[in-house]
Amino acid sequence: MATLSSMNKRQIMLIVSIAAILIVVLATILTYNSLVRKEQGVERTWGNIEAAYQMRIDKIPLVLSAVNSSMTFEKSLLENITLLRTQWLSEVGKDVAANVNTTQQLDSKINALLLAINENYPTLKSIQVVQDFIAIVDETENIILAQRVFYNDSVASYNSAVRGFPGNLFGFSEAQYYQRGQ
Amino acid sequence: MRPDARLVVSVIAVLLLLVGIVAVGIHFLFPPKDARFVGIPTIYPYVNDNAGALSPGHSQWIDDICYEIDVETSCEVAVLVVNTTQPNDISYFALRVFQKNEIGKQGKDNGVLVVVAVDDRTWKVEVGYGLMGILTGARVMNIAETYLVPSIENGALEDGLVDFTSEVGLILIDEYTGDTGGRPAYPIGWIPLLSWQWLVIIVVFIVLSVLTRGRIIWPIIWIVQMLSGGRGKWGGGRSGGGGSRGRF
Repeated sequence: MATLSSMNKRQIMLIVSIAAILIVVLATILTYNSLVRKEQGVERTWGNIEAAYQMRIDKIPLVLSAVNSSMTFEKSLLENITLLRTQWLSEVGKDVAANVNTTQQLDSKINALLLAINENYPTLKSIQVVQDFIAIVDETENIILAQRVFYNDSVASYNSAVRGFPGNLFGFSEAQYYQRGQ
Repeated sequence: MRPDARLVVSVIAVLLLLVGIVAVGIHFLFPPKDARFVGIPTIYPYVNDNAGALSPGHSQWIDDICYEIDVETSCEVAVLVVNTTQPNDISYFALRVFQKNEIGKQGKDNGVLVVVAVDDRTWKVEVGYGLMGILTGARVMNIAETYLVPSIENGALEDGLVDFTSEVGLILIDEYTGDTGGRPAYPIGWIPLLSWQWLVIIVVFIVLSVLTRGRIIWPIIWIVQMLSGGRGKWGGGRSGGGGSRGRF
């Protein structure tokens, strides 16, 4: 076996070069896998929000048809909710970034609807469908709040990996944070 | 390679190795602060009164109830009283406390965290994934409004917490159908070990003492003292945002 002292310069250079290439290849693979894992984490945590949100989405048509005739001054609000619901359903499971956007818009419209019912149409609260919707919104609120925190944690971790070196060499695009109350 | 060149390379290699070891050691001994948990307290089984709002007697009473729940069902109920959760909202604060301390058994996620912020006049009950079917948001709200909130409004927070944890305990003992195994989350000095576990420990202790001619005794005593010094750990559970919150 050749000892270090008996190796010539070329042999040492060859070993060092092979080791350097191996390190670079290994680092590339690990970085890419880590990015993919973090991206999947973002999608998985968003999936939890979708699951909670689906319960609200399911109730929307019934609520809208129950309040439609009474809420004469909020026609555009009701139409907006219907449009956003359709949009949400078309994006779910396919496009997380677009789905985050639509969910944020739906949040504010649903809040506006509940506020309008509470302040201007209190009699509507006696309708069973409306009561069910308010209960579902309440029940899912805490879950969505928590899942939003976990989702944003995943986005923070993923985005910092995407922006930092060497993650920025792979061309992954940053994920969008989920803000509420807009 | 010439001898002095070899020496330089060796010195550099050793220095790099030392720097690496020191860096890794510092990373493990003083890990960087996790931004998610800045201002979030570490809590211990089962009652944590950071506001000084509970008398020792009541604190022990609630602790006993939570311990009983843990032994009977393996569910971990934690109580945390603070002055304020600011700058965080109580929901965010409770979620992070739950997440940081991992209340509930690992894999069962059967933890419950009750947070009362005295100065903010808010409360929040955070329920682990595994108990969301039993302790639904509406049910927790109902229990809190029946037992906790009226007592707090009457200036009897500690009675409210006793009643609330008792009610939650009864529900869990009646309805929790998950695996009830698992070590209660209590300091090692108070673990009610099963007889076979004591037997194994004694046999291992005797064998090691004979093999090492008694030299193992002091290190073992030292390790036991170290472990007993802590206040126990939670079991590694997770929360998905179940539970309820309110004001008083």
